[in-house]
Amino acid sequence: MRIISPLIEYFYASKKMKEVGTYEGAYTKAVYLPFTATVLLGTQYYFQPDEVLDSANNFITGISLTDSGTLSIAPTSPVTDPLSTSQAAQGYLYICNMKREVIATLALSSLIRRLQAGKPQYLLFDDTVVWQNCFIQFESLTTGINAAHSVCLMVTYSPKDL
Amino acid sequence: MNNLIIKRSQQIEFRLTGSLSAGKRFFAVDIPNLGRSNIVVYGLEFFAAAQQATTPTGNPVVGTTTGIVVTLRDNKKQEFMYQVPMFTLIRNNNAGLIVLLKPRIINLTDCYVQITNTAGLVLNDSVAANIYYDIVE
Repeated sequence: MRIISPLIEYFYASKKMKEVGTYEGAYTKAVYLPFTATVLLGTQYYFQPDEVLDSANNFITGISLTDSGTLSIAPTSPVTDPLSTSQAAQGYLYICNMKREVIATLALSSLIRRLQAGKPQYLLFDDTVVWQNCFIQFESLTTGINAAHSVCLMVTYSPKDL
Repeated sequence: MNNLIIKRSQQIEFRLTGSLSAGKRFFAVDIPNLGRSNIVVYGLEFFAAAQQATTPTGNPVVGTTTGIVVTLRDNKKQEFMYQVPMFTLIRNNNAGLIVLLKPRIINLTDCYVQITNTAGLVLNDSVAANIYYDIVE
Protein backbone atom coordinates (compact mmCIF):
# COMPACT_ATOMS: atom_id res chain seq x y z
CA MET A 1 0.00 0.00 0.00
CA ARG A 2 1.28 3.45 -0.85
CA ILE A 3 0.20 6.31 1.34
CA ILE A 4 0.24 9.77 -0.23
CA SER A 5 -0.17 12.77 2.02
CA PRO A 6 -2.72 15.43 1.03
CA LEU A 7 0.13 17.89 0.54
CA ILE A 8 1.97 15.61 -1.88
CA GLU A 9 -1.31 14.98 -3.68
CA TYR A 10 -1.86 18.73 -3.95
CA PHE A 11 1.62 19.28 -5.44
CA TYR A 12 0.99 16.62 -8.06
CA ALA A 13 -2.51 17.84 -8.91
CA SER A 14 -1.45 21.47 -9.23
CA LYS A 15 1.60 20.48 -11.32
CA LYS A 16 4.04 22.07 -8.92
CA MET A 17 6.06 18.89 -8.51
CA LYS A 18 6.90 15.76 -10.45
CA GLU A 19 9.02 12.67 -10.07
CA VAL A 20 12.65 13.20 -10.95
CA GLY A 21 14.11 11.31 -13.87
CA THR A 22 10.80 10.57 -15.48
CA TYR A 23 9.33 11.89 -18.70
CA GLU A 24 10.67 15.37 -19.32
CA GLY A 25 9.16 16.34 -22.62
CA ALA A 26 8.35 14.97 -26.02
CA TYR A 27 11.24 16.79 -27.69
CA THR A 28 14.57 18.33 -26.78
CA LYS A 29 16.21 21.18 -28.57
CA ALA A 30 19.61 22.80 -28.18
CA VAL A 31 19.55 26.59 -28.30
CA TYR A 32 22.74 28.57 -28.71
CA LEU A 33 23.23 32.24 -28.03
CA PRO A 34 26.70 33.17 -29.30
CA PHE A 35 28.04 36.58 -28.39
CA THR A 36 29.29 38.81 -31.17
CA ALA A 37 31.45 41.02 -28.96
CA THR A 38 32.63 41.35 -25.38
CA VAL A 39 29.65 40.95 -23.08
CA LEU A 40 28.58 44.08 -21.21
CA LEU A 41 27.24 44.38 -17.71
CA GLY A 42 23.47 44.76 -17.46
CA THR A 43 22.84 44.35 -21.18
CA GLN A 44 19.93 42.16 -22.25
CA TYR A 45 20.94 39.50 -24.77
CA TYR A 46 17.80 38.26 -26.49
CA PHE A 47 17.30 34.89 -28.14
CA GLN A 48 16.53 34.56 -31.82
CA PRO A 49 12.82 34.08 -32.59
CA ASP A 50 11.89 30.42 -32.32
CA GLU A 51 8.30 29.52 -33.01
CA VAL A 52 8.88 25.97 -31.80
CA LEU A 53 9.63 27.26 -28.32
CA ASP A 54 6.81 29.82 -28.23
CA SER A 55 4.20 28.41 -25.93
CA ALA A 56 1.47 29.22 -28.42
CA ASN A 57 2.74 26.09 -30.22
CA ASN A 58 4.52 24.04 -27.59
CA PHE A 59 5.03 24.33 -23.87
CA ILE A 60 8.46 24.26 -22.32
CA THR A 61 8.85 21.54 -19.72
CA GLY A 62 12.48 21.96 -18.74
CA ILE A 63 15.70 23.86 -19.31
CA SER A 64 19.29 23.00 -18.54
CA LEU A 65 22.47 24.92 -19.22
CA THR A 66 25.28 23.08 -20.95
CA ASP A 67 28.54 24.31 -19.47
CA SER A 68 32.12 23.84 -20.67
CA GLY A 69 32.50 20.90 -18.28
CA THR A 70 29.71 19.13 -20.15
CA LEU A 71 30.53 20.16 -23.73
CA SER A 72 33.95 21.62 -24.48
CA ILE A 73 33.08 23.21 -27.84
CA ALA A 74 29.63 24.32 -28.96
CA PRO A 75 28.51 23.44 -32.51
CA THR A 76 28.11 27.06 -33.54
CA SER A 77 29.64 28.67 -36.58
CA PRO A 78 32.22 29.96 -35.87
CA VAL A 79 32.82 27.55 -33.00
CA THR A 80 32.45 28.93 -29.48
CA ASP A 81 33.08 27.72 -25.95
CA PRO A 82 30.08 27.11 -23.70
CA LEU A 83 30.13 29.19 -20.52
CA SER A 84 32.22 27.87 -17.64
CA THR A 85 30.64 27.53 -14.19
CA SER A 86 32.28 30.75 -13.01
CA GLN A 87 30.99 32.61 -16.09
CA ALA A 88 27.51 31.14 -15.61
CA ALA A 89 27.50 32.25 -11.97
CA GLN A 90 27.42 35.83 -13.21
CA GLY A 91 24.22 35.62 -15.24
CA TYR A 92 20.49 35.04 -15.24
CA LEU A 93 17.95 33.71 -17.70
CA TYR A 94 14.75 35.76 -17.76
CA ILE A 95 11.61 34.06 -19.09
CA CYS A 96 9.07 36.56 -20.44
CA ASN A 97 5.47 36.42 -21.62
CA MET A 98 3.78 38.15 -24.55
CA LYS A 99 3.69 41.46 -22.69
CA ARG A 100 7.43 41.20 -21.98
CA GLU A 101 6.70 40.71 -18.30
CA VAL A 102 9.35 38.66 -16.55
CA ILE A 103 7.60 35.59 -15.19
CA ALA A 104 10.67 33.68 -14.07
CA THR A 105 14.20 34.65 -13.10
CA LEU A 106 16.57 31.70 -13.25
CA ALA A 107 20.19 31.73 -12.13
CA LEU A 108 22.22 30.21 -14.96
CA SER A 109 24.44 28.19 -12.65
CA SER A 110 21.52 26.40 -11.02
CA LEU A 111 20.50 25.18 -14.48
CA ILE A 112 23.74 23.21 -14.91
CA ARG A 113 22.47 19.67 -14.60
CA ARG A 114 25.73 17.97 -13.64
CA LEU A 115 26.01 20.26 -10.58
CA GLN A 116 22.51 19.28 -9.41
CA ALA A 117 23.14 15.55 -9.20
CA GLY A 118 21.76 15.16 -12.73
CA LYS A 119 18.38 16.65 -11.93
CA PRO A 120 16.92 18.89 -14.63
CA GLN A 121 14.98 22.06 -13.93
CA TYR A 122 11.28 21.49 -14.58
CA LEU A 123 9.17 24.36 -15.82
CA LEU A 124 5.48 24.86 -16.51
CA PHE A 125 4.29 28.36 -17.27
CA ASP A 126 0.63 29.36 -17.25
CA ASP A 127 1.43 32.49 -19.28
CA THR A 128 2.25 32.34 -22.97
CA VAL A 129 6.04 32.41 -23.25
CA VAL A 130 7.49 34.15 -26.28
CA TRP A 131 11.02 32.88 -26.82
CA GLN A 132 12.31 36.02 -28.52
CA ASN A 133 11.23 38.03 -25.46
CA CYS A 134 13.41 35.86 -23.20
CA PHE A 135 16.91 37.07 -22.52
CA ILE A 136 20.18 36.54 -20.70
CA GLN A 137 21.70 39.26 -18.54
CA PHE A 138 24.96 39.37 -16.62
CA GLU A 139 25.20 41.26 -13.34
CA SER A 140 28.93 40.87 -12.80
CA LEU A 141 31.76 40.15 -15.19
CA THR A 142 34.75 39.36 -13.01
CA THR A 143 35.35 36.44 -15.38
CA GLY A 144 35.11 37.97 -18.82
CA ILE A 145 32.83 36.70 -21.58
CA ASN A 146 33.42 37.56 -25.22
CA ALA A 147 32.80 36.52 -28.82
CA ALA A 148 34.57 33.21 -28.18
CA HIS A 149 31.73 32.14 -25.86
CA SER A 150 28.09 31.19 -26.16
CA VAL A 151 25.19 30.31 -23.92
CA CYS A 152 24.09 26.74 -24.63
CA LEU A 153 20.69 25.66 -23.40
CA MET A 154 18.95 22.31 -23.70
CA VAL A 155 15.23 22.96 -23.81
CA THR A 156 12.68 20.18 -23.50
CA TYR A 157 9.16 20.83 -24.70
CA SER A 158 5.93 19.12 -25.58
CA PRO A 159 3.29 19.94 -28.17
CA LYS A 160 0.26 21.77 -26.85
CA ASP A 161 -2.12 19.00 -27.81
CA LEU A 162 -0.32 16.31 -25.77
CA MET B 1 11.88 11.25 -5.44
CA ASN B 2 10.14 14.43 -6.54
CA ASN B 3 11.32 17.84 -7.60
CA LEU B 4 9.69 21.21 -7.95
CA ILE B 5 8.26 22.56 -11.21
CA ILE B 6 8.78 26.29 -11.70
CA LYS B 7 5.58 28.14 -12.57
CA ARG B 8 6.78 31.61 -11.62
CA SER B 9 9.99 32.63 -9.93
CA GLN B 10 11.51 35.77 -8.55
CA GLN B 11 14.94 36.56 -7.23
CA ILE B 12 14.85 38.00 -3.73
CA GLU B 13 17.64 39.23 -1.50
CA PHE B 14 18.39 40.04 2.12
CA ARG B 15 20.96 42.80 2.23
CA LEU B 16 23.36 42.84 5.17
CA THR B 17 23.19 46.54 5.96
CA GLY B 18 24.00 48.56 9.08
CA SER B 19 26.23 46.34 11.16
CA LEU B 20 27.00 42.65 11.24
CA SER B 21 26.14 41.05 14.55
CA ALA B 22 24.91 37.65 15.59
CA GLY B 23 21.14 37.46 15.94
CA LYS B 24 20.36 40.67 14.07
CA ARG B 25 17.52 40.37 11.57
CA PHE B 26 18.07 41.37 7.96
CA PHE B 27 14.71 41.62 6.19
CA ALA B 28 14.02 40.84 2.53
CA VAL B 29 14.35 43.77 0.17
CA ASP B 30 10.91 44.90 -1.01
CA ILE B 31 9.73 43.97 -4.49
CA PRO B 32 6.69 46.20 -5.02
CA ASN B 33 4.71 43.92 -7.32
CA LEU B 34 5.10 41.00 -4.89
CA GLY B 35 4.74 42.95 -1.67
CA ARG B 36 0.97 43.09 -1.40
CA SER B 37 0.45 39.64 0.12
CA ASN B 38 -0.39 38.57 -3.42
CA ILE B 39 1.84 35.52 -3.83
CA VAL B 40 1.61 31.95 -2.63
CA VAL B 41 5.11 30.56 -2.21
CA TYR B 42 5.54 26.82 -2.67
CA GLY B 43 9.31 26.49 -2.97
CA LEU B 44 12.58 28.28 -2.45
CA GLU B 45 16.25 27.99 -3.19
CA PHE B 46 19.22 29.87 -1.78
CA PHE B 47 22.50 30.50 -3.59
CA ALA B 48 26.15 30.45 -2.69
CA ALA B 49 28.57 32.97 -4.25
CA ALA B 50 30.00 30.23 -6.47
CA GLN B 51 26.56 29.82 -8.01
CA GLN B 52 25.64 33.48 -8.21
CA ALA B 53 28.33 36.09 -7.92
CA THR B 54 26.03 39.12 -7.86
CA THR B 55 22.30 39.69 -7.41
CA PRO B 56 20.27 41.34 -10.20
CA THR B 57 20.41 44.55 -8.17
CA GLY B 58 24.20 44.50 -8.35
CA ASN B 59 25.08 43.44 -4.82
CA PRO B 60 27.75 40.79 -4.19
CA VAL B 61 26.41 37.50 -2.82
CA VAL B 62 27.68 36.40 0.61
CA GLY B 63 30.87 34.36 0.50
CA THR B 64 29.89 31.90 3.23
CA THR B 65 26.64 30.01 3.75
CA THR B 66 27.15 28.25 7.05
CA GLY B 67 26.62 31.14 9.48
CA ILE B 68 23.15 32.21 8.37
CA VAL B 69 19.64 31.05 9.30
CA VAL B 70 16.43 31.85 7.43
CA THR B 71 12.94 32.63 8.72
CA LEU B 72 9.83 32.98 6.56
CA ARG B 73 6.67 34.65 7.79
CA ASP B 74 3.21 34.38 6.31
CA ASN B 75 0.68 37.18 6.01
CA LYS B 76 -0.54 36.45 9.55
CA LYS B 77 2.96 37.06 10.88
CA GLN B 78 3.36 33.38 11.69
CA GLU B 79 6.94 32.22 11.38
CA PHE B 80 6.13 29.03 9.56
CA MET B 81 9.76 28.32 8.68
CA TYR B 82 11.92 29.37 11.60
CA GLN B 83 15.70 29.68 11.64
CA VAL B 84 16.43 27.04 9.04
CA PRO B 85 20.14 26.95 8.14
CA MET B 86 20.69 28.62 4.76
CA PHE B 87 23.10 25.83 3.79
CA THR B 88 20.29 23.28 3.74
CA LEU B 89 18.23 25.43 1.36
CA ILE B 90 20.90 25.40 -1.37
CA ARG B 91 19.87 23.12 -4.18
CA ASN B 92 23.16 21.43 -4.88
CA ASN B 93 23.58 20.62 -1.18
CA ASN B 94 20.40 18.54 -1.56
CA ALA B 95 21.31 16.42 -4.58
CA GLY B 96 19.67 18.94 -6.91
CA LEU B 97 16.31 18.94 -5.14
CA ILE B 98 14.57 22.25 -4.53
CA VAL B 99 12.95 22.72 -1.13
CA LEU B 100 9.15 22.48 -1.35
CA LEU B 101 6.96 24.31 1.15
CA LYS B 102 3.34 23.94 2.08
CA PRO B 103 1.93 26.76 -0.11
CA ARG B 104 1.36 29.93 1.87
CA ILE B 105 0.76 33.60 1.23
CA ILE B 106 3.89 35.30 2.48
CA ASN B 107 4.61 38.84 3.42
CA LEU B 108 7.97 39.18 1.70
CA THR B 109 9.32 42.08 3.73
CA ASP B 110 8.51 40.24 6.99
CA CYS B 111 10.84 37.40 6.05
CA TYR B 112 14.37 37.66 7.35
CA VAL B 113 17.76 36.06 7.78
CA GLN B 114 19.90 36.11 10.91
CA ILE B 115 23.62 35.72 11.26
CA THR B 116 24.93 33.11 13.65
CA ASN B 117 28.57 33.55 12.72
CA THR B 118 29.95 36.76 11.21
CA ALA B 119 33.18 35.11 9.99
CA GLY B 120 33.53 35.51 6.23
CA LEU B 121 30.60 37.89 5.89
CA VAL B 122 31.00 41.37 4.46
CA LEU B 123 28.79 44.39 5.17
CA ASN B 124 26.39 45.26 2.31
CA ASP B 125 26.69 41.85 0.68
CA SER B 126 23.39 40.09 0.01
CA VAL B 127 21.91 36.72 0.84
CA ALA B 128 20.38 35.65 -2.50
CA ALA B 129 17.44 33.36 -3.06
CA ASN B 130 14.81 32.43 -5.59
CA ILE B 131 11.21 31.96 -4.57
CA TYR B 132 8.80 29.84 -6.60
CA TYR B 133 5.24 31.03 -6.37
CA ASP B 134 1.74 31.39 -7.75
CA ILE B 135 -0.20 34.64 -7.94
CA VAL B 136 -3.15 34.87 -5.54
CA GLU B 137 -6.31 34.85 -7.67
